[in-house]
Amino acid sequence: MPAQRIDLKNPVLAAGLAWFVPGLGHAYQGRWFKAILYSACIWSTWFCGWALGDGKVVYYNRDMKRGRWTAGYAAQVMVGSAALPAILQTSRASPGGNPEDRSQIELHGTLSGPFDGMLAAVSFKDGRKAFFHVRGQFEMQPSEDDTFRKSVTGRFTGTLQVADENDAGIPDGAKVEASINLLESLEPEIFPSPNRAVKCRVEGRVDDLKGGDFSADLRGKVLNVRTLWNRYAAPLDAEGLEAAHGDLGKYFEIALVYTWIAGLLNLLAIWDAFEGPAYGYGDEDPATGKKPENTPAPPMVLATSAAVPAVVERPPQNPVSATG
Amino acid sequence: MMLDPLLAANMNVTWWLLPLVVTVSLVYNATRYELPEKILQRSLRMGVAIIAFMGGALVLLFLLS
Repeated sequence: MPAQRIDLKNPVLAAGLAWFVPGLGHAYQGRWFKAILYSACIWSTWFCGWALGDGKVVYYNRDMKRGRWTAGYAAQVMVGSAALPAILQTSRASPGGNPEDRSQIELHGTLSGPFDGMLAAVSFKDGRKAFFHVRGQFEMQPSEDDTFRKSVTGRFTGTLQVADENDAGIPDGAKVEASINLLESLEPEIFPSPNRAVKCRVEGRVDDLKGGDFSADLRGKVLNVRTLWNRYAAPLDAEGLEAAHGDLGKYFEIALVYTWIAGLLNLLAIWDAFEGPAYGYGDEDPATGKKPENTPAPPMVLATSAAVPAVVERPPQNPVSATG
Repeated sequence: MMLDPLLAANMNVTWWLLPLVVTVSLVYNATRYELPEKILQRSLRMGVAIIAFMGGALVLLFLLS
């Protein structure tokens, strides 16, 4: 059997190492060509899928009651160290995954940073209606007034990006300041994106504009506010999953397939670490299936004592005859 | 790391199958044999066979459409 020619050392440990880090089990066994091959193929497939899916395709959701169970995770988890954090992240987010209704999510701590989004449903006091794309600086924190569960305070300052056709007659680049009164919707804190989506009710004014006071919905993303700890392998909620499909299109499925295949390939690699090659060493005679003559046998281990085994080198298979 | 929209729009999804053919051929044959030469030889043969089969299926579907 092929395994007898290959020193598998501790096969269980090798298989465990191969599961945890593709290629590590074979490196432990000294099978360096395979270690490098498995490592390069499986990791490249995994990270290609990860990048293609914008870091959103590896997550674990066990909300089976609502019919959402990421069965594909069973394949992804075959790449142990890369996929295991998903289970931890789901537990951190909330039991059963992220809350489905973002309007129920409360703000804990301060949310601040660069903002990119829209001022929608803008109502000026003189009756004008409009909507604008905005960029600026956003800051929001829970209000000390706990009359309403989702009371917040904060400010947004930025500039408006106005299209050519503008019923409100507001120039492009106009500065705007607004105070945040009510949090309407907030993306979960643990979520697979560095940016955090938010929707809130604001009141403010456009600088240097007569009748520029307004109330509006401010919706968009506060940029680069999530740490790697809060976004790696984090679960998607229903709205996030819909947005990911919208943003990535068919590439979401392609990314999923890449990570599944990386996991399934590592399953084969784990078996190779445990059992050795399935068909043979590779130099057997095709007709007889026997290994070539004069092939050195693996070292034979003799138990000379319970503590100190001895290794004895066997003589070659076909010793030269003394008579020639 | 978002995919560039222009690249995404112009790239046929079939091209994304080729890296998978390479990795699947290499890893599968590495689990069958131990010698590097044998692994690489069989991987090349398997990869060509897969691509030939896919190409044949593509031609057949094109003719039938």
